[in-house]
Amino acid sequence: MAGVNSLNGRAQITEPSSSAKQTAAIKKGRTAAGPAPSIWQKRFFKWIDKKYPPAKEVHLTRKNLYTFPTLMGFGFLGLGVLLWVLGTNYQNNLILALSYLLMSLLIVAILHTYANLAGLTIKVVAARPVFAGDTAQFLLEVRGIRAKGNDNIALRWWTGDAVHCDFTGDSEQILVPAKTDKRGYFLPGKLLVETQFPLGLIRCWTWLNLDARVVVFPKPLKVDYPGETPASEGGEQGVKARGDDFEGLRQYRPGDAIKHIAWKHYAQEQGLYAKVFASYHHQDIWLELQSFLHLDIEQRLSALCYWALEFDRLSIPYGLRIPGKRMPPSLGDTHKLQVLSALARFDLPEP
Amino acid sequence: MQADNAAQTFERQKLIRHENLLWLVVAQGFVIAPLLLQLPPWLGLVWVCSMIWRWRIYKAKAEFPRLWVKMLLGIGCLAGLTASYQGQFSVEPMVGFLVCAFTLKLLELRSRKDGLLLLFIGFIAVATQFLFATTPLAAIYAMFACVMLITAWQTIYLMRPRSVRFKLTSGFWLLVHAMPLMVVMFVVMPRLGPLWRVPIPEASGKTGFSDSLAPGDLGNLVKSSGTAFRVTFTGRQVPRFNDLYWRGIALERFDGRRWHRVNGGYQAPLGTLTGSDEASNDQLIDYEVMLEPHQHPWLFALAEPVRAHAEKSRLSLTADGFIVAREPVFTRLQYEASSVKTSRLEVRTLHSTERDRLLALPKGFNPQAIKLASEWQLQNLTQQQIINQALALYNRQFTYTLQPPLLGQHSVDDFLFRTQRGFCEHFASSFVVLMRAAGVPSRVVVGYQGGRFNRVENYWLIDQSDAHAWAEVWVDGSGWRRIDPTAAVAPERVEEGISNALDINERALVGDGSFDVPPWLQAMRDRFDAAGYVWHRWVLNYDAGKQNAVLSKLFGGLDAWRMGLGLTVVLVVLLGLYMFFLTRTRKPRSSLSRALVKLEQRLHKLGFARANAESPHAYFRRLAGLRPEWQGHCEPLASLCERALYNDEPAANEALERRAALFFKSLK
Repeated sequence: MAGVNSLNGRAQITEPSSSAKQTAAIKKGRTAAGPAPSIWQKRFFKWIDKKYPPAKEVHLTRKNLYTFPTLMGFGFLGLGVLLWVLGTNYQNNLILALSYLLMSLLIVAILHTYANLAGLTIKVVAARPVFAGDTAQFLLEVRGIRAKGNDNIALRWWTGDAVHCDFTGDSEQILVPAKTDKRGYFLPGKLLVETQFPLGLIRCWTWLNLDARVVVFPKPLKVDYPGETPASEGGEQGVKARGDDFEGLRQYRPGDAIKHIAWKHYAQEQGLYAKVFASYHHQDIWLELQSFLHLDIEQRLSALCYWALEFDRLSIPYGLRIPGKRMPPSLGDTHKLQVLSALARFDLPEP
Repeated sequence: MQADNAAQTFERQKLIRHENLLWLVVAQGFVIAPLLLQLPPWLGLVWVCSMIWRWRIYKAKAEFPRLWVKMLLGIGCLAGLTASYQGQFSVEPMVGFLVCAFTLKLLELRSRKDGLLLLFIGFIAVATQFLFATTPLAAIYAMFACVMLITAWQTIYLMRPRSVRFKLTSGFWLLVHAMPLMVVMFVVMPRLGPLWRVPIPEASGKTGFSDSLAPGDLGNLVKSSGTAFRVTFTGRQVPRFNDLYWRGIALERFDGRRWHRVNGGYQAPLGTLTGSDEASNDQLIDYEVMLEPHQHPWLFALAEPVRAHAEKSRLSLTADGFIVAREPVFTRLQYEASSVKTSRLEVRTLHSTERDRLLALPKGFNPQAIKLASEWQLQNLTQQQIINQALALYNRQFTYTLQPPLLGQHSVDDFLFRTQRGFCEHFASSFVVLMRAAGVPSRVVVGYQGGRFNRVENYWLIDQSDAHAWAEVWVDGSGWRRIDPTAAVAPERVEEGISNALDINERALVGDGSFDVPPWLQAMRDRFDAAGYVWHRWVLNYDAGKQNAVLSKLFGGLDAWRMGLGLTVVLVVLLGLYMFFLTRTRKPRSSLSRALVKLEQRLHKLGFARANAESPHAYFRRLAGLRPEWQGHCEPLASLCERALYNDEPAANEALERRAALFFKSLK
């Protein structure tokens, strides 16, 4: 698992739009687990699907925003009624006025809460591919922010955890997570945009039908590599078999064997490098489904995924041969991305 | 790992943050402060202790109390309240209990929900404040407390760090936004009578006179300050100043020293209105009285009241010609009444028991006076002549004074034949004794006479110092006739008010010296009093009757469709305005001045549009190249743009504005 985690940490294998530079500006909200949708919600979603087909960008207006008092709102209304009874019984006009003040506060809160969401435009920018079972982070862009900002807005995918954030400035980017379960194309479902600001009496929300998707790689499954491959034992022992001829240096990457570190260069403060030894076993490595016949098909894909990552880590060129897809052995991030994507999409239709 | 963190941060968001806690405590302080003045002082201590405890919890030096500790605290507070109020069931202990709950809630203030509950209790506490005080000041203070509560409330949901000022202003604006709608609701929402009986706050003490009168009672009352009631004449008929006799009670039983009120001694109303309703309506004197609470059931009216109505209380006209409320007046009471001159009434004859009661005198008291009056009777004088005789007696050598000498057992004799110095009750009392001895049915009436006219709001202000006593004699066929023996001695009392009837030394005693104030101060007092009166008439006493009047004036009638339509229009306009101001899409704020924008639009029309990504200064440089004749304008504009936009110089902004306007003009 260690290898997978480190890859996850680097996460450079993503679509070009969300480069490292952009990541810095992305807002990290606070997240929380949301409840699973009920039958009624599912029906409601079906209705939304019919009415609003998926779009990359949605503008929030009175047509797609819903408002309703929260439990606290009803409690507050009860408080207003209580004061009304008090004022009526004591024939005290000031208490009555206070009661009316609270009721109108409730009404004004509707408008304030609504205004906190209305006018925003939410756009799906990108999402990084993830491994099955991991949390996919969808990058959304929010525009149309009010001059004084939009406060305390919760965003949540149907299946994901809520992110709470404030929006200021012209536009903001925000990551909204969703937990993935299996490989393939992951559709996070409807996006809930919700706010109770400023008083928590009124809930204004909408379920957006956003055209968001992400490729989910199979979850890496660690199994022994079959056959006479150099890295049959996996791990660091495999490196030995890669040959003894020193080929050159390359930038150190986490996971490189310690004994391959070019300590001489490091001592001369030239940076941390790893020695690369060329392998003269000119036997190409092919990742094939047939290699793991003892597993079922999903597990085989998972195993291939694991080994693709492992070979990449060990800098051993590897190719992929699965029905309908053939990729000659190679190395590099692009190659890895293609291989993993091919594994993810195997035997699945385009959504 | 990631998920754990997320859950934690979310949990944290649900909790009350320190900053919120501070706001909640401050808001609570504002709400509680006026209540603590009304409640036993140890409740303040409870509050301070809860605050300290909560602070220690925040500092992790103490823990949230366990359930049994909380129960113990609650029981302790209940016990304390029971002890403080001797277990009586009234408003104060209930408010005390509310304050206890309010303060102890601090000790379990953990989550957002607790915070909101605290705020809700806070709003109830603000409402209870109005049970004790309903002055404009109390209302303003309550507004202030509401702003604090709303601000504290908003901070719970505000995640961004903002300044105190920002929070206060946004809380204030929320309240301001709610105000217009509140006013609409206040004006149009139907008013109901009390749904069930409720305990009323303890009164501070009885004011005014009591239901019996002994020599010296009114003299003391006149020395006290304070308002008895205020009157606005609403009809066409306005009586003259010396007819402003506000009748309160009739005293008909004399025990030799004290006059007592007799309850329900009359068998039927004194009379019925004569003539057609139209004509009699013209003769009616209509007025609206705002009575200060005096803890007695009687109300004040001019003779002879024929109609009385109040929204907040059931009033009835008694058979002897007075207005009483079903319950003592514990809170300020507003009522409308109409009076009519006795000559307009068809008066019934007096029943014999009634006549006997109005002629009764205690045996063995005041022999001299009775002898004198009997002589008049023996001389076969008419009723009018008897009255004249008595008034002539007073006119000869009596003195009107606030400081009469003490009287002995035969108080009337002492006064009539020995001291001859007295206040209105001496004159009234002795006059009635004389009348009864001479066979004229009569009684003492206590009330107020005169008043001060407030020009700011055109109403009469009747003070305690206007208290007065006079006599009424029964004239067969025309009913009660008012005789004021004081007027025979000191006509100024009736013509110009009490302060003018007394000599300078005694004047200072009246109304706690309120007559010795400089005119400017009096004018200021009048203004304040007028403001208070308007407040009471239109805010505190805005009832179903007033509502009908206002609504029919606003919508031209009280039909359901008019009301519905009017209300809908008002609400739609109001909500529309809200919507407009709250959700209007603001144009992206450009740092360019308005003049520059105007100039740009003009240039755009001329075919020199600014490119999409072109900065203003680059644009002007380009223009200078394109049209050399504009160079004189464009070059300085370009450099000014640079300075204004990138160096953020305010001076450059102003210069830019001028330059741009100049260029704009030259383009025309």
